[in-house]
Amino acid sequence: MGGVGLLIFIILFFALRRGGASSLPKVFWQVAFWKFLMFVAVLPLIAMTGLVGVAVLVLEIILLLAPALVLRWIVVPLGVPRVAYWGATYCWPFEVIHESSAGAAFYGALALTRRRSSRQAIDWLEESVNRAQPVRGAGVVAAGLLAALRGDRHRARCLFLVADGLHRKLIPKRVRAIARDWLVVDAARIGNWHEVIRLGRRGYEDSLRWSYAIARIGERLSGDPRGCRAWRLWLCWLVAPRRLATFALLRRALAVPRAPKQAAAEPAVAADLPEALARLAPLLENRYAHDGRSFAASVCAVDAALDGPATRTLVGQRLLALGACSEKVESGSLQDMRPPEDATERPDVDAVMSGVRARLADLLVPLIEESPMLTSGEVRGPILDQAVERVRLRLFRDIEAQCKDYNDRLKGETSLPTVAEWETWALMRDAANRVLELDPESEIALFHAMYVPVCNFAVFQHNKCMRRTLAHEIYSWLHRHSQSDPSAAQLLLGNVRASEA
Amino acid sequence: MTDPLAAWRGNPFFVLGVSTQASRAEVERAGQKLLGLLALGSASARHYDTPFGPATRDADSVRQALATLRDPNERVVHELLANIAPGAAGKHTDHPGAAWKGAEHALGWSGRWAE
Repeated sequence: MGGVGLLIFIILFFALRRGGASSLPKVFWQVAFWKFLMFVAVLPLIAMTGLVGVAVLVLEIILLLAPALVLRWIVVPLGVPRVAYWGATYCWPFEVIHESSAGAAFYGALALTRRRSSRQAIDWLEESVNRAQPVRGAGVVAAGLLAALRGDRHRARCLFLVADGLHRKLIPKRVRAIARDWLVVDAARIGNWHEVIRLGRRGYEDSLRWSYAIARIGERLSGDPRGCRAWRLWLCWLVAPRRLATFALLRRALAVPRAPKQAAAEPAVAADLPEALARLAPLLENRYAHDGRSFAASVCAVDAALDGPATRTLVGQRLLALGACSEKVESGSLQDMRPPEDATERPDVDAVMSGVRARLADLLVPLIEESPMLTSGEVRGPILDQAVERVRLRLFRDIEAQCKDYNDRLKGETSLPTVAEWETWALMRDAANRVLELDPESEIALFHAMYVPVCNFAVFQHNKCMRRTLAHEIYSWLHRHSQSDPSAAQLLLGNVRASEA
Repeated sequence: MTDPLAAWRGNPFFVLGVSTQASRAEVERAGQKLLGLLALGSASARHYDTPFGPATRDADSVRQALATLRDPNERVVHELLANIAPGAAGKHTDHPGAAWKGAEHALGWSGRWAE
């Protein structure tokens, strides 16, 4: 019996260390003690009931030693969220030992993804996360899964991005993998392979097997010059889980030849506006197949065609033919009607050109909002600049509104439920990251707009609401962008350390 | 996300099914004819072709297209945007980097994926 107890202890110890814990917390000793007591309590059953007792004992040992395995391999695939929730509550899976209630909701949400989800089950699990204390990585991932099940892809994406970026002490590796795999699948299902590669390839320390394999497959599919050889692609696929589900994708990638190492060729310059528009349209429809450079080049080609003398002359002629300017010319006499070759100088021509640019910018705005990476080209041109500016202003307004809301709630000392508070921060963080991606030079302005209200609110969450992980995440984000203000950086670093404790 | 070319498909020239060189009278005639057909419930009048594939129209979109083309400046803007070289549609379908259909099943999701 002593041997079994020692075995339980060793397994608990290593499971916890694997989950990212650097030192054994108090809760570990409590859980180890209770698991041992439960084991001892069932021992008399062997003597009383013979074979049945042995079966019960074996079952109990499995549940005590490897509850996460039972939950992941049996309960979650069966799609029974309540069983998963209560199972995780009473069996203490080691990977969510720091946040047992939120961890139970995480397993419940995971089970819910395996069947047609009901509104009641989603609400019930969300309520469980709201009641849970503390909420760390597993709670955030549970909130993300519930948002996804509700159909709110943007909210889910923001929450998973927060979870994926949490410090390794705050989120177990397997829970992080759930968040990252969702993000990878969400990008892959719309063909956004550049995002898949960005998410999956994180270097030796931070990469996870499945997302890494899909990123390598994505490199071949998108013609990335970093695409690996076929044998290496096979190896990535073999090492990663879910091989059957990804086999068809692997075969698709293997059919694509490796892209040469040199930089991709620039798209040919379009001769005239109709041709430039004809090249832009399929790019908008299949925008993820191209990198920011080629996307920007195609938009710039439209800009160049619009500025070309041929287009300006055509516009001038058409305006004359339609009688657009006769009302606007001061005297309105025939002498004021300029010949077609001078028509390019008229203000009406410029108005038409800016009208065309505004309409094309209208088309680009939703694309840029969804994927700021499309603007990563070195040269943007007026159409892309206009679209970027609109997106940037809208995002900045959202951030300012959220800062004001934080201020107001801080004054009233009111806080939202846990899930809603995480969602609010995740959405704000995503908006801020998009602003930075669109315009890296706005980092200083953005930091100063956010610093006081957001930091004060994080302190309130830390001290009054006891949401230390949320506060830690906010401090960390602010600290990463505080390089322009050394005193703020110093203060934030202190807060980051204080919230780690 | 919604169709990125939806606004382009709604170009007044595509909606009315007229050439960019059509006269004002031709544009008005085409619009009135379409309004009449739509009022009668004609199924074929609901659909029209664009360089980016088929789209659907209703009486409101036809009226809006007519109103837009009555303004000469607006008309020239839409003329430029409607004048597209052939081959703008259908280039993406066989691209190797196309979307991974059913990717969510790789994660074991059988419930609804977020839309």
